Amino acid sequence: MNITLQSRIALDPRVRFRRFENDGIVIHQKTAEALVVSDVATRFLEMADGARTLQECAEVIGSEFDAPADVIERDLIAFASELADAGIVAVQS
Amino acid sequence: MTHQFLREPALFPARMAGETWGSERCDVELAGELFRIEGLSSLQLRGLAERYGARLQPSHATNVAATLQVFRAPVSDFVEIDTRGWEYWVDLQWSESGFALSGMRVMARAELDRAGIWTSVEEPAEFSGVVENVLRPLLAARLLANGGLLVHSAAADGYLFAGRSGAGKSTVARLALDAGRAVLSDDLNAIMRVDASAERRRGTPALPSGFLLEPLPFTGDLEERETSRTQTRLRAILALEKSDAESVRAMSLADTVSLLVRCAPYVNQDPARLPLLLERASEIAHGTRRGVIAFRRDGDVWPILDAGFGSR
Repeated sequence: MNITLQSRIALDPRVRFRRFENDGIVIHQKTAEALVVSDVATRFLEMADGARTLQECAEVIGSEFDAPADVIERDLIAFASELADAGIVAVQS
Repeated sequence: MTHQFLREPALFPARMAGETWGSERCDVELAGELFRIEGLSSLQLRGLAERYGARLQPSHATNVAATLQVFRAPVSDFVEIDTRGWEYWVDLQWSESGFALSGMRVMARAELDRAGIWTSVEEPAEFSGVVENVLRPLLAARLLANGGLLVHSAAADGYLFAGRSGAGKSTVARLALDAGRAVLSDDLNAIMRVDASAERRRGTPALPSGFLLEPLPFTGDLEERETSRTQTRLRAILALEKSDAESVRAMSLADTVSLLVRCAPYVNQDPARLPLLLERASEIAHGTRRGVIAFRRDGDVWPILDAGFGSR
């Protein structure tokens, strides 16, 4: 799947996500695997509502974390692709 | 239900009814609750008595948590399985009210307070295993519903070493026994909530609110006679890591919740129970000290644990 900065990402309805302090936990109901994700990934998943674009998510993360914009954008696209492959998010191009 | 264990899955019992094996019955105590098992033959009762020992009581109590009715099922209902080199997992399907289960020579349908077990087995030792296949997920569901959690873990001296198969639970339990520490189980332990105000209202000695480890008769490599039957306060939750040297480091809240969810057997397979499971794991992790223990097979982890988490 081709994910760009204009893609909109939403959590799959079968996925449970919750923040615990700085980190988050993602659980796919089908596998019951509980995946711990970093603070940046947690912030991204909090914004994965199907309405915001990856570009908009990257801008919010850029304002809250100390990293260059191009690095954030590149990492976000890669992370979203991994989540989509794992069935954790759905992508709306 | 699938064809893995049943010749005709479509004939899985729809209602808790059938022909019982006999009129014997007993109560089995697990995690402070009584589970009544009825419809037994004398042989089946003997199997449960041998398996559960002092936990098995005559059925006089009125406050049973759940009643399990045992019914006959013909041998022809079940697929014969060659068990050589085979790892046994029951087929478990959850619903809002409970679960349906099929396994070797057993079918069961359970809600939180009752269950039907259909089996072709009467031989005492095998029958106790049949019942245990139902008791374990039933206990897991009841604990989750009542403020506790069943955890794949070894528990020793108040420390809960959580981990799935191969993590080192039995090794650390054996190290605990060698060090003279009380071990509850090296496979499955029950975490239960203590409500101090409720305990005071009942007139029982005041315990601070928090969580307890409750002994269960479900062990892995250890013999049950090697384990303690005394409940202990939960001192810390620890992830196991095999290493060349002993060390302990902090474990984040998220990592602890994730560990507890992964190690909560049966209920973590039920999508509808995942929100409650996450909530429960979070409550337990919030209220408990947490760490990752790296250990050697022949090492002594207790000095660094006691240094890190307080002495007895």
